[in-house]
Amino acid sequence: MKKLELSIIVIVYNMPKQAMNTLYSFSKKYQENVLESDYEIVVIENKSSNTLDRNAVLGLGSNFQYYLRDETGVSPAKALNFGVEKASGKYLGLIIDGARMVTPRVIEYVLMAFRQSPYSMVAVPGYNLGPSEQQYHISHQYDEQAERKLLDSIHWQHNGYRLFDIANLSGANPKGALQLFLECNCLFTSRKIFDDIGGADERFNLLGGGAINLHIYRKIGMHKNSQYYFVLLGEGSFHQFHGGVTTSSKKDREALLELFRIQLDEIWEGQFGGALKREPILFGSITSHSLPFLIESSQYANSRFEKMATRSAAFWPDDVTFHRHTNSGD
Amino acid sequence: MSRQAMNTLYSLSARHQRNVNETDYEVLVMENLSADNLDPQAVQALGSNIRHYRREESSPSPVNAINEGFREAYAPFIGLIIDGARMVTPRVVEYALMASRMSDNSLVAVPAFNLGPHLHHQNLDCDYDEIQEQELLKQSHWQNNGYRLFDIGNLGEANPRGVFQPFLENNCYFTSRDNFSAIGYADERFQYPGGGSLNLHMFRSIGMLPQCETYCVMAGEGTFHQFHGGVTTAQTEGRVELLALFREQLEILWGGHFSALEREPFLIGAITSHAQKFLHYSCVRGLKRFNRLHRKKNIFCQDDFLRKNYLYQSDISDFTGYNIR
Repeated sequence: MKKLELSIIVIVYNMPKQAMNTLYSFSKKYQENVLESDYEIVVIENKSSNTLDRNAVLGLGSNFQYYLRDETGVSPAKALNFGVEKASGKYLGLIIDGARMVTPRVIEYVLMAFRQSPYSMVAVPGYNLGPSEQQYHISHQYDEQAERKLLDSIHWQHNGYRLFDIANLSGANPKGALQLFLECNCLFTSRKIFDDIGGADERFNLLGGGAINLHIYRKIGMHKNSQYYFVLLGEGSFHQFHGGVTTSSKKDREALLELFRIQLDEIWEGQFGGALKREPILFGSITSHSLPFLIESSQYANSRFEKMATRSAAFWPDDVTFHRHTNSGD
Repeated sequence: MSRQAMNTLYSLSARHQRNVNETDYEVLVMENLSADNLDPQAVQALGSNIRHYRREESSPSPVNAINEGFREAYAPFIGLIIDGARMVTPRVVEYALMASRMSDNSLVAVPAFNLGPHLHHQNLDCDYDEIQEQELLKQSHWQNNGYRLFDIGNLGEANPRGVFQPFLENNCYFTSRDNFSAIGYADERFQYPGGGSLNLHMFRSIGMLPQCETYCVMAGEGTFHQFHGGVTTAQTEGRVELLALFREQLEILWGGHFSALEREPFLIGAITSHAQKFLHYSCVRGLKRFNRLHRKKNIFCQDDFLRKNYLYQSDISDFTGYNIR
């Protein structure tokens, strides 16, 4: 029997409507040019008063697994490690926030990227649904109901690329696919590299995992074998509004983020290097829907190159540790 | 064009190509003998993976040389550069190898540029010549960073609006030996000088093969044409008439239905600071094209629909009705 290539771990907590959209977007009903037997989706839900319908999840395809688990903590770190344990793929997709829907060729391109090297790292750029960053949505009269109307209006199930028409760039990559990513919420790596970095570090025990995503992203990106860093510039993961930890308007949001920063700094002993400064290898087609974002990214990239050149600074300093030639400036 | 060809060969050698070794690829130089030939020793000194064939050729077309190259090549994935005056940027070979791993019969094209500020067939009007070009190349120190060629180049006629528009032809593309075999290699009916429209014919024929699933474009790499007074790439007397003959032959062979390859390109590769402005231009022109076709309810990449092994294209569901041109 063919060994399963890819497992996608989706962590869900208290957001069944959004999670069902996410899971549908990962299913074969929606993903193009792949077979159910090419990948599996492992859904790990931490119990709440508002859980998914198991039968509805399993009805999305024979490549779905669903686990409902008790969790006393407030971090998804343990759930992620549990998911990886249950997964059987050589390569892993890490979706720590189950509210993130994806576009229709993410799986196809990820499988192509792992044909280049078993140690590829693949990042899908992040977007928010709606007119602006979701932490400001309460003040902008934007809520779940408004978002549902938006989603209904584009019939995204028929063409997932229309999600770009109702979205804005995420704070994780505010300057688009050609610039630096601070983190990535739809990230793919090999099981070997995930194991090497110690899995999801369970010291990240704060709400929503705190800065665990930033930690994982940089750890994988700086792993010595992480030869190719691919960015799927024409695909996206789209965050749905759900009153999550850092994407909702809360009085104490700043205080919470400060706690996250302190914890990150402690775990990295003050040596966290910030956004990953590696040259992205662009990978994939661009639809008419995503092209306006590429134009925006391209303008930002140009400004960055000019700024760095003026300072005689290397464009991609994190590439220095890898034995690959990249465009490190003249 | 021995001077230009030496630049091309250097650009293809492992001295200039990055992230690959000599053992990853070979370069076959098929030279039709003329009054200005390459120095075999100088060619060989560029690397142990370069093989130089000097051949007598009575035809003005490169078609026989190409087919001999196919016969001599060892690898299952082959790059074809019909005009030896085209230098390439430093990661063309790395990305070609990547494309070969994407699907069994991928096709990957490198966008074309001209060195200098003008199209080369306007050289007399623009007062451009080899001496100016040599000076430009010298000042760019391209051997140290081949991406600087973008700083002294302009978009070629085969892709004047960049990577999101259909390519009429391509002068540096890579595909499987199976694909070349499936189209019967280089069609020997193309006997006009320079092969006439051979390049257009081969590129479209391969791109339309049902087995050719993935069509890639290296958005951040390029081939740079050096001025050398070529058949159609210099402002020569009789150029327009010759092009009409080339076109006529193509139309006969294609029954009047030849067109640029309209497939959705899969972009592969990094974008350097040097290539950034060309990507931006491509994006702006691409968006214009999308908007224009959308207004007319025309399919964006209609060749993806016409091919038997159609997989998926995103825009079809945007229309309640649509047109194939």
